[in-house]
Amino acid sequence: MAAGTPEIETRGLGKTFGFHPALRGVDISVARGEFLAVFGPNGAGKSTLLSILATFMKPGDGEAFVAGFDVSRERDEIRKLVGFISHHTMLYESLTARENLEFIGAFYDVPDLRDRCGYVLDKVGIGKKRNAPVSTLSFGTRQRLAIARTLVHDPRILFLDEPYSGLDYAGAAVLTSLLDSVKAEKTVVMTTHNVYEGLSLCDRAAVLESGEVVYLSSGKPARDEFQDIYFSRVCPESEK
Amino acid sequence: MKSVTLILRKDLLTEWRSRQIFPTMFVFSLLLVLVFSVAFEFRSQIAPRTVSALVWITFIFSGLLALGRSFSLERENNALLFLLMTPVRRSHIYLGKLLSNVIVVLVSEIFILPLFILFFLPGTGDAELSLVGTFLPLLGVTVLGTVGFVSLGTFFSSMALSTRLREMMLPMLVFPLSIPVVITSVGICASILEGRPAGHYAFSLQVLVSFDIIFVLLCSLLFEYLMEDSGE
Repeated sequence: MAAGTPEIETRGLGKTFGFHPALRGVDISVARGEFLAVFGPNGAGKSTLLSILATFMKPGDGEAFVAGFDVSRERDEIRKLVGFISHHTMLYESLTARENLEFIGAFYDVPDLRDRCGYVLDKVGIGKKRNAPVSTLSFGTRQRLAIARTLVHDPRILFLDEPYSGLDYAGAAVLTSLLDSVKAEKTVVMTTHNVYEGLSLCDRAAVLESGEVVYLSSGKPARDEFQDIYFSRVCPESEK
Repeated sequence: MKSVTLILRKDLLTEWRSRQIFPTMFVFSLLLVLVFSVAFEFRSQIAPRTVSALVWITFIFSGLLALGRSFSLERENNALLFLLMTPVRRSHIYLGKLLSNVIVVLVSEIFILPLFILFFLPGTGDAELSLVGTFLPLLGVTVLGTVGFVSLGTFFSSMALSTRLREMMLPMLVFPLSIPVVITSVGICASILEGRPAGHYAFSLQVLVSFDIIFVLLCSLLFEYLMEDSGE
């Protein structure tokens, strides 16, 4: 990828489900190593945006590029480079924590996979539970395992879809410190309702409403200033 | 083909640990055999073609239980979504699932087949039954017929995943399209039980193999398209 080329770029990105437009003319550009937090109410199109960027869904209109690859035509190249964390754990209940990681890691041809799995499990603080079946783990531990599984192939780009949903205080703290430690070397796009966590981590912030980008900062926004913008744009009634 | 093996191994490990599909299939098949047996008044004189039909009715009905469960396992926690985000070819997911389903269904059939021999074969007429002349060819046809039926079932199981009435949709989609495989398999099994020489059913065998190849190739190609847009 040429220097200066955005790591993630969307141009007039649109998506419609039936008659319902989920995304409308979204133009976003994220530089390599940048952390973009995307805020917005439920149904704003945040998850749709990430699903398109993570190649799980095809765009309706416009175009999107991840690491210079077209999300419509070069999906396999993108899949090798990205990791995805969602509020769904997407784990296999009958497999152990380590088996879940090894199963996914094998598709990426991760070298020394067994050691790598042990390393990421330790990193998210559940190394002692590596041989426990997922069905016996608490929701918070499953979420940490889901984070570990996403990191197993050391992706260059991370897409995080409401990663704080369902996490207890300790789990949220682990996720925050983990994102803090990796954000210098990875490009991250995170959707969240959590204004505090989102703003503390991000380099830039965007607000989506009814599928449109209604705010996109050029740098890290000040919290008070952003909250004013966010609440006036997204839920003006709560301001009154 | 590494990804096919990974999916096959994961599915078999899951089934080994949960032991959900196989016992259900076996008990269901046993009940069917008992119902058929009672209906035909235990060991009465039954035409080989009827026995073959009963065997395949049992295989298809019990097989649907395994097929229905196959992709619903992936649906738990949206695990399929994560699998689809890996750089694995969609057709490899299908082939891995197909192989694991074929193995589970075949193991169940191997347990069911002796029950039919016990309950029905003493009444199939004058034909002499032997390991080489009867049981091995029967096993071969069972494998071929199962591959044909399961290849369709695995594909439609993934398709039915996104529908609301998936338990009802699966048989409605699989039964009509499995008819050629079932009719051919029943015909060959009947010929074997009647003690006819292999030349008598050689053409039907070729037809069955052709169905298998066509179904597996077609379903793996269609699966690529189906799964690429599964997020829609």
